[in-house]
Amino acid sequence: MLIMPRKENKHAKVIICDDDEDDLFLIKSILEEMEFSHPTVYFHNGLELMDMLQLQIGKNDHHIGLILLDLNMPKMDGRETLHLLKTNPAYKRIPVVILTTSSSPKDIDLCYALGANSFITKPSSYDQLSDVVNTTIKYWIDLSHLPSR
Amino acid sequence: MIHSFPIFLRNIFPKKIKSSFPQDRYSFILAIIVSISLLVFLSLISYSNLQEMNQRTQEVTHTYKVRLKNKELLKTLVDIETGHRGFLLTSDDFFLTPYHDGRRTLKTTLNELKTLQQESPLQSYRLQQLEKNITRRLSFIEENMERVRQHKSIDKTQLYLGKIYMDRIRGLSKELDNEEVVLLSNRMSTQDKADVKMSFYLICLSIVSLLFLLIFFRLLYVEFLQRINFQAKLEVKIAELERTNSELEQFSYITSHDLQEPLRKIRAFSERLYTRQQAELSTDAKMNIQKINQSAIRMQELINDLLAFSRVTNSKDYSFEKLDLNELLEESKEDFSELIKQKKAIILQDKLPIAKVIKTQILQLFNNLLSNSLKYSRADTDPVITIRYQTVEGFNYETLDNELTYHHITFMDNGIGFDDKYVDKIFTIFQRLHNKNEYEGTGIGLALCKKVVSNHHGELTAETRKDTRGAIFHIYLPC
Repeated sequence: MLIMPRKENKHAKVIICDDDEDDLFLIKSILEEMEFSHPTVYFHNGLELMDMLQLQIGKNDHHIGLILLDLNMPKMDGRETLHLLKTNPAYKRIPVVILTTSSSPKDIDLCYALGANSFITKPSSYDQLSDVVNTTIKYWIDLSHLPSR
Repeated sequence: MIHSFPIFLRNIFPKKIKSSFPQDRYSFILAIIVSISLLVFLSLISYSNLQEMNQRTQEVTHTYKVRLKNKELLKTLVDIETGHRGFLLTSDDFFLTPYHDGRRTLKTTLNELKTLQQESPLQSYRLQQLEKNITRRLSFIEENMERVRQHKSIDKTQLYLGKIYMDRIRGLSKELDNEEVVLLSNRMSTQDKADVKMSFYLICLSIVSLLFLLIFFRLLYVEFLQRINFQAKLEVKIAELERTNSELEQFSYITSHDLQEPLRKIRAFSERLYTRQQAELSTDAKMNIQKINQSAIRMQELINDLLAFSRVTNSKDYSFEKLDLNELLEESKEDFSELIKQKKAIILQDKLPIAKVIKTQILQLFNNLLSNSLKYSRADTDPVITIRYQTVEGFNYETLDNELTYHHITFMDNGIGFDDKYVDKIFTIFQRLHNKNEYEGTGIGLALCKKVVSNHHGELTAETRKDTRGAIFHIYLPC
């Protein structure tokens, strides 16, 4: 995958979109533990996320390094949000990783078909969740640091 | 177990359709047999009556013929007499034409009469007498004609005698005719009686046929109504089942998602508590947290197994493929390779067939049976799992379809087995025969196996080994 070169890499933003307050709390605490320095924004549904992105259009100073997206959310669910993101030329280069409780083959197939960059089922164990969030965020942020050919 | 009911009857009156009314089937056959024999009996009687009637008609015709010939004979004789009288008076040959004609026909008429009366001794005797008298009468006629030709005078005695014989002939002829008239009237009356009898039989035949027709119509109509009724009930049942099914589907979705969520949280937060506050927590607190975590894990396993079971229940999402069962078994063995090595298990197997199956489900079946045998092995003996294969005919088994041939695959182990009294219980969901500290598991495995096999329209049965300890599972899949 081709990633555009970024000048302000250290400020690459991470967006976490999940309606579950407990999960947001857990992810926040994991990020705190790993002393994650990038700006992190939290949303409770797809509508909030899309509204924010709409406002950001034209501003180049805050580029987005990764979106962690839950599937089952009120107002606008993850599937619709993913579809809107991946069909809009302005956003389609932003890596989107689905982080959800679902493990159904139907959801997995649909998400990859809609253009998700990865699909992860939320692990039950705290340690595992911590590992998953850690590696995933590092991987995609690091990848967005790579210079293009 | 082998059905003693003859195959051809089984085909005419299939057991399945009428299974709810077994006694009806036999009364139906009996009714058919009775009605057919009645119809045959009545038809035979009518036929023999017709034959008799025909015979009698012939007899009546015969009588008429005899009377006619009798009259002809007398007329011929009168012709002969007339001709000879003319000749006696005139000595002219011109009057002899009727005489000659009469002499010619007399012989034939007499012979015909004899043939007609062959079978009646009395009439034959009368005919003999008649012939004798005719011969005598003719001899007198001839003698007088001879005297006229020789120009002698007519012998009057001969004329008198001739008249006497002619009267005798008339008398005999009358007797003969009277006899026939009596016979005729007798035959006519018998014929009338026979006609009455015949119509009686025909009416009987029609009434009986109509009666049976009505009975059968009624039987069919009742049966038809029952079927319609039954079908309507079935349709209601099907609708009910469909609703229950969709409710169950919803239920399984809720279990998968909504119940898993809080459990996941219990695990995540108890682990987080443990990891973060490890230094401050007392040993007792740590032990409690671990118990909470273990229980949550166990409940997750239960929910996952329940979900697997409900997925197998809904086989409409899966498709049947022609697959080599040997390959599926190898794949399944691969999953347990570690455990097999660790337990020093030996697996002996026949060559399995190629069959039309749902791949994931058969894998699950093999997995569960293998895991079962490995799990419930005896501590003092290395596990030996024997997998046998043969084809069997369905009609040899009570629970299988009579018309089908089945793949019969047997999984036999030398493990702890189970008590025979639990043979019906082991396929029940969540049924555990052992304390869960002794052997792990959720109690869904065999229920799932049963479901898989029934999705394939087959049968799964279990038994304990008689020779040594251990369990045997029989899988029957239709070919």
